[in-house]
Amino acid sequence: MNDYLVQLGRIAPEAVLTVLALVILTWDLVTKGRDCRRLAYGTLAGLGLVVWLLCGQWASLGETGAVSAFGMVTVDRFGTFFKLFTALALMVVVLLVLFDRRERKHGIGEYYFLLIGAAIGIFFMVSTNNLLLLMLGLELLSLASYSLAGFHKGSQRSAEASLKYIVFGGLSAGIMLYGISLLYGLTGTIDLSVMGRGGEGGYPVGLVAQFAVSPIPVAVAVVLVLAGFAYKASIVPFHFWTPDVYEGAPTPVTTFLAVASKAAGFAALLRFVGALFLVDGVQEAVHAYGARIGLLLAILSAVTMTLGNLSAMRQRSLKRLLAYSSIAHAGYVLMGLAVMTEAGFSASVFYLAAYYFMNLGAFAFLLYFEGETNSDEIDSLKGMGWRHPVVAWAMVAFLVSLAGLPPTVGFYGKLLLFYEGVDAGLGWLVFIAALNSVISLFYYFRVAKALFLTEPVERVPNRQPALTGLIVGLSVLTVVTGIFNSALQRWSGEAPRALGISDQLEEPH
Amino acid sequence: MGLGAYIAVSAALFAIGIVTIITRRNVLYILMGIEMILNAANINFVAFNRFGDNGLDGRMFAIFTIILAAAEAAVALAVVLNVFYLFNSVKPGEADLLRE
Amino acid sequence: MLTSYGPILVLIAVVLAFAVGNIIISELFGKKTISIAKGDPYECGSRPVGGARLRLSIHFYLVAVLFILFDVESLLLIPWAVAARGFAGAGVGGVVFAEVLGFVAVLGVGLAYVWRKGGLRWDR
Repeated sequence: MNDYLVQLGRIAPEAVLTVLALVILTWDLVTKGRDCRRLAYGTLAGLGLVVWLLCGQWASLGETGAVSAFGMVTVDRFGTFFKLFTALALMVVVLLVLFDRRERKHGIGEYYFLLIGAAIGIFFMVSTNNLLLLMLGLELLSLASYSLAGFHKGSQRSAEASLKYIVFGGLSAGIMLYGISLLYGLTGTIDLSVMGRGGEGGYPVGLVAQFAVSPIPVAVAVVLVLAGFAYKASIVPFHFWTPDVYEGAPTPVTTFLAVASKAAGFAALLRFVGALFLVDGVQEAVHAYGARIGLLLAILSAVTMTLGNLSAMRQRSLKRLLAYSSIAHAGYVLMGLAVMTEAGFSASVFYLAAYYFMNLGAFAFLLYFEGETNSDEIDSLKGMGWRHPVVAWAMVAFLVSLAGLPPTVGFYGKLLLFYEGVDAGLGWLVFIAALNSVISLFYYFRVAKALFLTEPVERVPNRQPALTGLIVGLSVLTVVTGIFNSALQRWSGEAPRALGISDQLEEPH
Repeated sequence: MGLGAYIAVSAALFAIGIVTIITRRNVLYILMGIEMILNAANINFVAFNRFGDNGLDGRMFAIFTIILAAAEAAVALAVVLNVFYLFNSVKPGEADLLRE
Repeated sequence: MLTSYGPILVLIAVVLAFAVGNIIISELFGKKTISIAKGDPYECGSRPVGGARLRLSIHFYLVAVLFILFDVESLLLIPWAVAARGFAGAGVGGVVFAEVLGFVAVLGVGLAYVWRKGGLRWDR
């Protein structure tokens, strides 16, 4: 009984979120949706509690410590890191919903309920070694996202976005599930911590032993599972939904999808790849195979960033531009994975953290801009810099960070990734990434140009002070974490250590 | 009957599902294709569990997959309904507002 | 060995008694009206004659989807029921029962939501 409570305490953040979701939904039902402001405050308070619990969890866990809850949830710093960022990002998204001038007041309770539901999915997805729980978390996130994407019920664009999302999402979830079923058949387990090495006495068989007998089915299964992660993280060739869904969905939802959902996909992918190929006792045995997976990831990374950046150049809508830019950033993050070392993983984690700040900010600016002009075309940005100088300068900070220029956090993240890439002998990939950064400069500059390089016009009074405060805060965070990056670097360095990645072999691929 | 027979059936179902999704223009058929893929995975889980004698993991996975499929179908039908109201069509090709 | 099928026999008996009993009770106490519609074979509310490709009210689909959802969720109770006895034997039956109550409570909130939003109303 006592032990039960201890284990329950380990999933306290998830439990609090679940109760919060139910309370919000019931509250909305009882008050018939008239109480929308207080609902938002309630959600924020609940999320604050979750953040506090997570901070306590981070402190109580050692660097490599991992404890299990009911044999299903693995609580370690890696998961807690992403949970913390998810909860914080969700708070920002809730604020965005609150500030959204075009948002309907009707059905706001469901809005928060679905957002929290998606967060619960992320929480379980990033902190489990069990493929069943991982799949359930991923699907919970997906189902909530489908509904959120179509949340503007009268809007054709919103409906189309959710339709495209669910068709692609269902397909890739099905492919991933089929891959998992094959992996289960081949290795005899659905637990990632056992799947690589195999169990004591040869059962479950494990990937290493099975790989020696039948390498091709194992490769097929792994690639099928990767498809599911690739969809969540919008990696080529599973990126087709991204621009359409991002454009059609309500802007706060787009923010959530672009930031929290994508990072969660990467977190689960890091854990999966780490557990299957890089832990002690596996890395040596399947080194050649792991290197091939690394090469596959490197190629995907190069294609993803190139395609994202080249497509972003042609966009006229700022929302769509940010969608393609998020595809390109998925490519950069994938670089750290392709390195297939712990250092590479922590570079990826750092970049994802940086990505949280700058993309939250960029989308918050998009929301501000939509609230002012009712449009997301880059052309209607013209003169924004003169009319709304404060937010416009904040946006410049985000753009600089997205492009990867100093002194912002995006620059430092890219530096880490490039360094690890060169260190692992992936010079060609780093070269492509550098070229891509130059391409991306072009279109980010185009946005900045639209903001400022026009005839000066009258400054107009700021009608969205709260949103302005949020944007400025995020921009300060983007710059400050870029200059004083040691803390974030330490945390992101510690996070992947819990995955137990072997550091013996560091041969070039 | 050996394990091979089950895998053959599930692989065939998987292939049929993929082909359905690729070739059909009607979103309801696409959803059926997705269900077929999920069921193909289910056959695998149950068959591997039966022939591998490894606890209940596979069977539990199959039960949860059934629930996932139902939940996904419910959300998908709601989405399709919404699209049908607004576009008067259930073909993704005719909902084409979002493009470059 | 055959005694293990005893519960099934009891189930069959109960089901039969319930069905036949209901017919007898309604025959004895029910108000009787005779109309043409009563003579129709039962077809879930739609007209039994004519083309099959008719459009039904959207409510049929809504209720069907809701039914499937709750029906399938209750599937999760089966593995719980199988495992619960073992847990009760180990002395943690209360906790395990509380867990399933939590699960049912979540479903209950879902049902309350559907009800409140008018998903179960026919007279709109």
